[in-house]
Amino acid sequence: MTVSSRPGNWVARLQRFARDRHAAAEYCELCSVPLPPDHLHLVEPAKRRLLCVCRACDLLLGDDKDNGYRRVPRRAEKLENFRMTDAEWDALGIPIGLAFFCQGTPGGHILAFYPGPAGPTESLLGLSAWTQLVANNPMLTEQKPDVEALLVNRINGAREYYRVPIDRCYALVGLIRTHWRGVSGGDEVWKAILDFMSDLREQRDGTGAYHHG
Amino acid sequence: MSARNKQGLDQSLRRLEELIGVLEAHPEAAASESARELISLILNLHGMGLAKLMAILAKAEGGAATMARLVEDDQVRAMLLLHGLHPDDMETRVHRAVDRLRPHLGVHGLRIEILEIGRGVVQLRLSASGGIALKASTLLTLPGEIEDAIVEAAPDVDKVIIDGLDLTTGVAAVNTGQDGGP
Repeated sequence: MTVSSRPGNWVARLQRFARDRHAAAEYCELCSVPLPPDHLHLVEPAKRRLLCVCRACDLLLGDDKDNGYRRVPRRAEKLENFRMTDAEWDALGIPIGLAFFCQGTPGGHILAFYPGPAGPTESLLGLSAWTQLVANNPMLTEQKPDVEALLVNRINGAREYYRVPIDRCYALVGLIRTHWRGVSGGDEVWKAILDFMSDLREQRDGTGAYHHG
Repeated sequence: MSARNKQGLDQSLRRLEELIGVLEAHPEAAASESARELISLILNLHGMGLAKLMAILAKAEGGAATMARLVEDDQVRAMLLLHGLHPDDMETRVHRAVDRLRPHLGVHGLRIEILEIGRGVVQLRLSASGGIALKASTLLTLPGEIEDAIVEAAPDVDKVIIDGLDLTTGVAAVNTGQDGGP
């Protein structure tokens, strides 16, 4: 955002705020109580759906019992000893230096997501490529299906690997969708992505930086 | 309207934007919900009254001329825009703002066109009309200036999208005018 001393689109913002009851406050998608911005999330793998939930619903349903919901962890972890050569990365065929990989339970497929001009692009990762990656990096076996992802950042020469909660990946997707301009994405989207990565590096939970829905 | 009045108005509108931001991010849903309802009630009250006032004015003798004068006042204009009662619709106002930008952009060898105006989104495209190289500093400030000019005329616009300016590579335009014109 440019710092401007002049008022911006104040009419649109005020009208939207006055009109849209659900824009600011979010509600538990299971029991409808209002939620604070830093609420918890559950994944419903069968429907590939992320739900915003209150503490009570999380306690009731988020435990690992097989009731169709899985709790999204809160911690992100930098994978310090992750091994991946440039050739291995190139072999995945992802055209951009930023992607996340998540295993989905019905089917066990590995899905790769990366930003692109048509919005976030999803592709199925070849199982052999993933198996090779897991063989080189045993810590990937600890990554929980549906609720955690491997985030790879190789933008501008970076070589960073994180184990991240899936809701943060969705937040990244939202960020890209909001800020992407034109074919190359534009200045704004890359700034937003860099901010996101530095939040991750400093273990800020990004509350306030992402609102979905 | 005096410069001081205009400054005061701009200041309150900027503050208004800030406060909406604060309320949108407010951790207590109930508090922000009450604020939303309050604002919505006041907007409705004023909006209905103003709409009736404008209707009476439109029917009155010399009403059109009075309306034209009223719109020239920044404060009245702001109020009419807020309630969707400005006599010119968003599209007309955006077209006018773009027309006002043309000479300034022409100096930099740039052409501007409106691709689409719809659902609160204005999509514009910049292209180079000659082989004039743009300074990096101009490239950086230009999108902001264009956006400012558009939302000044149409603060009811949600989003301004400018195509054809690639800031990441610093390349001014997609089309460098190789058509061999004069």
